[in-house]
Amino acid sequence: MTRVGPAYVARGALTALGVAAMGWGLRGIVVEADRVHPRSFGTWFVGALLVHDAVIAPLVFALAAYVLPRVRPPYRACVQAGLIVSGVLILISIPVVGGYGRRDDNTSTLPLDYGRNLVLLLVIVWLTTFAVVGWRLLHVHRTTPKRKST
Amino acid sequence: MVRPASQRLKDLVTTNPGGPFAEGAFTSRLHSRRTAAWLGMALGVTFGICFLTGLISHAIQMPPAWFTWPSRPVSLFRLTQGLHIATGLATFPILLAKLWTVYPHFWTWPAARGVAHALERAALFPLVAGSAFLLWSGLSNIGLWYPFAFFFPTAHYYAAWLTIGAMLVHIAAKAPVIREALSRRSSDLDEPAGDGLSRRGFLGTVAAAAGLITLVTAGQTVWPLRRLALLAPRRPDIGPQGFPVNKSAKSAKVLVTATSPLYALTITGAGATPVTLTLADLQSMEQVTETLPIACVEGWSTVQTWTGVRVRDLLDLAGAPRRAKVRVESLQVGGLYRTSVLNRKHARDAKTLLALRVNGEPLHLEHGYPLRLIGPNRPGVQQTKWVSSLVVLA
Repeated sequence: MTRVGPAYVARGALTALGVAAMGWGLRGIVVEADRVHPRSFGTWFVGALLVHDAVIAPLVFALAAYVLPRVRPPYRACVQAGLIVSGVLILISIPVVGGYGRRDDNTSTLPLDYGRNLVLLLVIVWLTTFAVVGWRLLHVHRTTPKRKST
Repeated sequence: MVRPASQRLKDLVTTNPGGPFAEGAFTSRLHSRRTAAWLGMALGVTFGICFLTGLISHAIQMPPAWFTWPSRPVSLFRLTQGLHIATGLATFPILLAKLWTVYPHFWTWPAARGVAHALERAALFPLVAGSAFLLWSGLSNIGLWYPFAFFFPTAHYYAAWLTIGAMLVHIAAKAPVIREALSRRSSDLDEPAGDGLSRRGFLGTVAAAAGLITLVTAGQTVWPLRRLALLAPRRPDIGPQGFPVNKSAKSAKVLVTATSPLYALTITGAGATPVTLTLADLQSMEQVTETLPIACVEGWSTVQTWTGVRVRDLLDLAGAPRRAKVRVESLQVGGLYRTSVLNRKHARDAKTLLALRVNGEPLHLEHGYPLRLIGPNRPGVQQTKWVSSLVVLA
């Protein structure tokens, strides 16, 4: 049985507030349908979810399943970290590297060579990763505990 | 023995189909409630910041009757909008890490254990879809990339209400789990042994990714970091006369009208004596120099030194009422941002100028030649360029 205490009331109030906010959002989508274009909105709203759940997430799990067993255990953490940082950098640079927003009549939009910049950043990320791996390699006999037999 | 169809259907629904649904299909020790709770707390903070700063920006651009955005401090909007964009960008790794951490729950079997469980799971749809939509549409917008039919500000605004509402429902549903997971007595407190990232290492990596993204984009608004802004869609020091442009003169269709010798500024409207001023008239009036930022809703900003005529001097010249609002109109043909409104505080502020010059030179056509509005604490879209008239509103 659920006890009705202040925490329970607070959670109820928070739920009500959340439902009200969602209602306000839905109302706006209907009332300002001429700007929101509900069909386009719905496509991108559901599309964003599908791209994550059906593309990005499986890719991440597949990449991890392929790469990590090929890395010796003491260095897995470093490689994981390098992959995470690289993946996010690549994702957020898609619009600028693609240059879709560049305008011929406005040279101040997307003014940099973003492909080169992304490569430069990835090189820095992996140099750092390998530097940490190298450092661990030199110290591994002192820092790695004995393998457990499980 | 042949089982009845109803039994076979029941088996189909209740038998675990294996694969990702199987017990133990996801092996990483990082899929823990404590990891999820920490990332969730971080998302609560970043979504909160984005929501509040977004509400401010929306209220400035679509002001309700009770709302008057102040004209001071000069750089307040620059701060709130810069924070909105920087926080949104930094949220990418946090959201992805959170979704990865809880991804095994997506494959829960049975899919619903009852009505309450089904509702709780259904409420995740607007939360996850909304979060992903907000980050992606925002990223697309700052990159000036519009592959969608919806009008970005309105769609992003209402998606934010859906998402923040779903987030509150989610926090309420998960409060006991969060509390347990973050407590000192949590069953998750001691991590199982294993190789690969520990929880601390994982959270540290996510923080590092967020920090790196900030470092390589914040320079579009934080001047000292501009050379590090490797992935920012703008550089505050690149453009005509050394700073960026959003709407070009060509796209605004002002190439002829803005350079015409017949150019004149008109002041009309409620309670004002109509006044027409040529460029020479404007140049002969008292010139004022102010250092003010241009702060774009897309997150870049830059501070320049502007010289021109005070709007309030022009309003006084036309005898406009002191508490009147003023609509500033552009030569621009069409477009939602062809005009902007100065509320009474902005209209009377001594720093609100119709500028003729920037950094000592006449304005470049791309920056609004012959005359542009530049006022303190305003979004860039409301710093109307190629100004043709001031209309005093009743």
